[in-house]
Amino acid sequence: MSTKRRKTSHENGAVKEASVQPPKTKPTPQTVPQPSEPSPTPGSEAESETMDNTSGEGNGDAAPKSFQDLGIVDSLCDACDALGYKKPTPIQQESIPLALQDRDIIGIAETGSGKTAAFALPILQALLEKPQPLFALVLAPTRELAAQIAQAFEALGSLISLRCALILGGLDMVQQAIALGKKPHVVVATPGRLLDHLEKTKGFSLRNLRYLVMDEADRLLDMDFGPILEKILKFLPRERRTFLFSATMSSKVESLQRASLRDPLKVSISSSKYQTVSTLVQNYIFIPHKHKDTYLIYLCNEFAGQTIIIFTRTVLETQRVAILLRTLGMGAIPLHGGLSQSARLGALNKFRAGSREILVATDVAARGLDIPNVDCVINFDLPQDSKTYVHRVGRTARAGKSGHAISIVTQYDLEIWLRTEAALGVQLDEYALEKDEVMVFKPRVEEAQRHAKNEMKMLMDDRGKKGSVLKGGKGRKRGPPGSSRDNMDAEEG
Amino acid sequence: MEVDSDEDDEEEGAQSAQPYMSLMRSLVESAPRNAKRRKLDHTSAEGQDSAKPEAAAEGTDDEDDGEERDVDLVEEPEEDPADAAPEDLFDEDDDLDSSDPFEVHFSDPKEDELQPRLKAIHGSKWRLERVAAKSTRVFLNTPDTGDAAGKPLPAPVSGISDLKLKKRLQEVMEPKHPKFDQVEQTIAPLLFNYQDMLYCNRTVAGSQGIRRMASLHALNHIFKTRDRVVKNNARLSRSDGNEDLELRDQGFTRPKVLMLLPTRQSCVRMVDMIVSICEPDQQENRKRFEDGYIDKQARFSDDKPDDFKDLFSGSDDDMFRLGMKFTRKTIKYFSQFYNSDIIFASPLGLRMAIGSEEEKKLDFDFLSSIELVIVDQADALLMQNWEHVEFIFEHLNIQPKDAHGCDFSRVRSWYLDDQAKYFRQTAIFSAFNTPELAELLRAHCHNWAGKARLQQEAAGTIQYLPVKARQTFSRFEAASIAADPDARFAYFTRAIVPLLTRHKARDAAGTLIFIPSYLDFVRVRNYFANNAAVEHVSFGTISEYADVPEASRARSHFANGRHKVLLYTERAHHFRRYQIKGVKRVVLYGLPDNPLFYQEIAGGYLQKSEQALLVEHGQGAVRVMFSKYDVMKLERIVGTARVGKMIHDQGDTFDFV
Repeated sequence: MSTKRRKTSHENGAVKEASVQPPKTKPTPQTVPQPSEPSPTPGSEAESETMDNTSGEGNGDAAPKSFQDLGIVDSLCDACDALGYKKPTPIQQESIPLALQDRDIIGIAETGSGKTAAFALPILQALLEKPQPLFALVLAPTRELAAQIAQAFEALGSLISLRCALILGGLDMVQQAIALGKKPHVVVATPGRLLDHLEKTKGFSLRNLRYLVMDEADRLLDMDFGPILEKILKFLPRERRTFLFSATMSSKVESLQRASLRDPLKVSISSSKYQTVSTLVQNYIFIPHKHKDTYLIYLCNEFAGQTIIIFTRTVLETQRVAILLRTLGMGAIPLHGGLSQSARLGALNKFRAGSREILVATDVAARGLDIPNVDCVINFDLPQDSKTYVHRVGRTARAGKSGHAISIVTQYDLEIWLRTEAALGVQLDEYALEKDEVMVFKPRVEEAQRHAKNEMKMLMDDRGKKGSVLKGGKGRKRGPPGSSRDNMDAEEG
Repeated sequence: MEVDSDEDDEEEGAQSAQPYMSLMRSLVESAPRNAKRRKLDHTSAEGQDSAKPEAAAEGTDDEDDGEERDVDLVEEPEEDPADAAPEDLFDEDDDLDSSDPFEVHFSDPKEDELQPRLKAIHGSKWRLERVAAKSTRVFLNTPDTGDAAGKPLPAPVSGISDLKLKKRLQEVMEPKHPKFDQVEQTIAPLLFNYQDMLYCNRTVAGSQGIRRMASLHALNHIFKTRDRVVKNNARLSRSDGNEDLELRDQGFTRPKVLMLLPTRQSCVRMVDMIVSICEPDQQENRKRFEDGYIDKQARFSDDKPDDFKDLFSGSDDDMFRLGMKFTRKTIKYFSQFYNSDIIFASPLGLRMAIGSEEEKKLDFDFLSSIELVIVDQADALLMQNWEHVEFIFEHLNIQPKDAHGCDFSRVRSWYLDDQAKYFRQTAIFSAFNTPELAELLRAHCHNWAGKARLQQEAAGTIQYLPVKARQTFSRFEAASIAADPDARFAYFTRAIVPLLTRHKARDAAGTLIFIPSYLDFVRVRNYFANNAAVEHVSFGTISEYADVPEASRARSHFANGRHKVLLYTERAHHFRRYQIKGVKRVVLYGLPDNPLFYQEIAGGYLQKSEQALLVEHGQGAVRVMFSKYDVMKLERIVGTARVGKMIHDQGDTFDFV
């Protein structure tokens, strides 16, 4: 271990050249692009919340910078090069300089915009400056997202011998305790399991932690994770930097209090609260509810050969739609909380690798997942709130690519749809299609529907048996409150 | 034990690497009275047990009392490893000595020396060197890192003062036993330098020396480890957790030393040696230990050989396990495994403690941090179920499934990196080398400090028989080790059986056929029972599964000539050492592992017959069958000087008169 440390400290020379000499604790107002309230009262935090976007819009059309220009040291720039990050994305441009000045940050940026690197790079740079075990903690609401963040850290840190531990629910506690016992620099975790370790694993403490990051922060700060997060925060030192990142941000002041930010700066890179990327084409179709399946098949046929994610509301609907599509000869794979963790990962990998073109999913897959090259997102069932809508459509048109999102609106969904549109602040166009062409599919769809109904019945009967597709008995039990904490990150929905 | 003839066919068909496996399985199924059934579940006997432990002490003969009690049961919660009191220090002064093997091997191994060696072990690259040492041959195996100069043998040790011992141990031992004897001087350099060793010349006379060295080394290791932990605990509590102290001084669980021993009596001897070395003020549970382990009844007549008495006198129960915990002033017997420093166990006892696979309750976390394994009397363990030993070695140094209160920030980094097996030292003491032991050393000993086999040249026993007899050694060819049993049987029926059956089997009377393996025994027995070629040859059998009356009957029928042939197995001889009368001719279907058995069977039995005037002087005959796979056994019996010729020579029959 000592050799590794030595290696990292060699890089210190480069840090000094980078000429970023942040004040250690107190923020100095003149270096900050916009005024900030130094008093950490809830009121002031609320105000900082309202001071939206100024930075984003102010510097938006400045000449494109390089990572060096942002103050990133050479060794990390090399790592970025190696990963093919050529230029900083807007969120990186805005947040990295602030983070390097040692400030708490709330980062709001659309999905797929490079948020992970936006917080990883400043943390790694600070780590190079003063190497220390258990330096940073990154919290994420789902296992998949946490795994993805850990991968990003490992890739960026590969040149500087970074040790990173991934702490997730559903996996062996002792092996994780051993990983933590090796004193990694960065811990990426889902909250429930991390709290278990903080409470039970001897010799593991985060009292010297320097950085806390919450990715998908609004989800972490909401009611489900709130109590756990509060407990976790008790284990962390007050003297630390905190970064919150999300595509959407709850405006509740109390949530921010929970995160115990100090005098945070808000970085937001587009004007709307609910952001979608400009390269994303969004449409809807307005159809009678009874023809939903037929229209879905029509759409899938239209986008044949491209990768599609179809979002549904329930686990059973997911399963049914997948069967329906498969019956009609389309390569569809379901992903939902009713599957075991390994089945979930398997489904995701098949889709990633391209051996299946269509992923039918519940909102498990809505957030954070970075699947490159998703061409189209279809909202088979509309999301209940506009935030989820943003997350769902954020699965496509990532990293500057184009994408298409189509929502199926029926007579029953009109109200939700109008609310969503209002939140987005735009009127979307209806997707143009010929009803006659759609109805050509009807007889075959009806046949497939019957088949899917039978298969679903068999699945339901099998439920809970060994080797069944769906886990759990009827009326899903979640066990006593103590044990359910570990599974929170499994996101059953 | 009745065996149907069709099993014979079944066995012929089996062509796998273990040709007898299917036969054995069928035997186990058909035999109603197979080996003692041990209860796997200790919990049912708990209540009565802890109430009256002395009642269980007499349960040595457990065949007839259906409900066997577990004398060794411990009900005690796991302790929190953190609450070691500072007064538990064994020694006050403890200056770090960077040349101390404990530091060099465990605490602070030099990275530039360690890493290439670990890499070599990963690639199974070992370099074998033959080193001539005083009075023995040392075969030293070190990880081959590619650099030319091999590591020299550790410096010789002539007495206590040459060792880096804890002061307290030094003070006790110096007046008692300052100078080491021959055996001790041979094993001490390797043992105290944390190298793996297989010592192949254990004798009854040298056994106390081996126990002394093993105990001293184990105690030294435990005291050093414990002191370090206790001291660091104190440092941590002083520092209030503000400093970021990196103190890595322990494994996942507390047990550090495992001693695999054959019988309760052997455990008593080792424990007594430990007590004499560390001279504790108090011994907790000593009474219970004595009740459970010491059996003063003398049960053997004087005509039994010394090594037999050494092994089987006292309590010869081969199922026990004992945790022992040390504090500065006391020794505690029967401590819970996770609170123990040393675990003493027989292979069977430990296997049972680990639990059964069917119940899915396997617990071997207490083996995760074993740093020193002592296997004493391995030759006796070979006569027990060797699979248990292999099972135990397969489960050593596996990262635990449960934390057991472990403080992971204190665990040595090589434990966390799952490298513990490269640091564990294994020391095996046996009267002789066997393929099983060699395989154990090869497959399970990965010590980065290297491993050594210590083996004296064998003089051979053929010239030391107490009687003059014609000894004929015949070599048969076997294509592979798997084909050996079939080739052996074929040779037996082709070359030996005709000698018995000619002249209507008149000459067969008084033939003892010694068969090492039980599986071979079954095959030959079935042959005698069913084959027309030998229908005139009456025969009796004594195997390890024969009960006492059965064996007596077979012996008397053989002695009075009612049975012409007697089939006798090596394990039967190991456990009973019968003096068989009426032997005129000895056929060794295979050689015994233990060279003493050759002397007793080929020499002793014929000598008895000569004295009884059954055989004329010098007319006794010994016929031995061997293949090249018997080289280790053969070497011990004919001597190192002859063995090469006998294995490789053109001719395949060797007569010694």
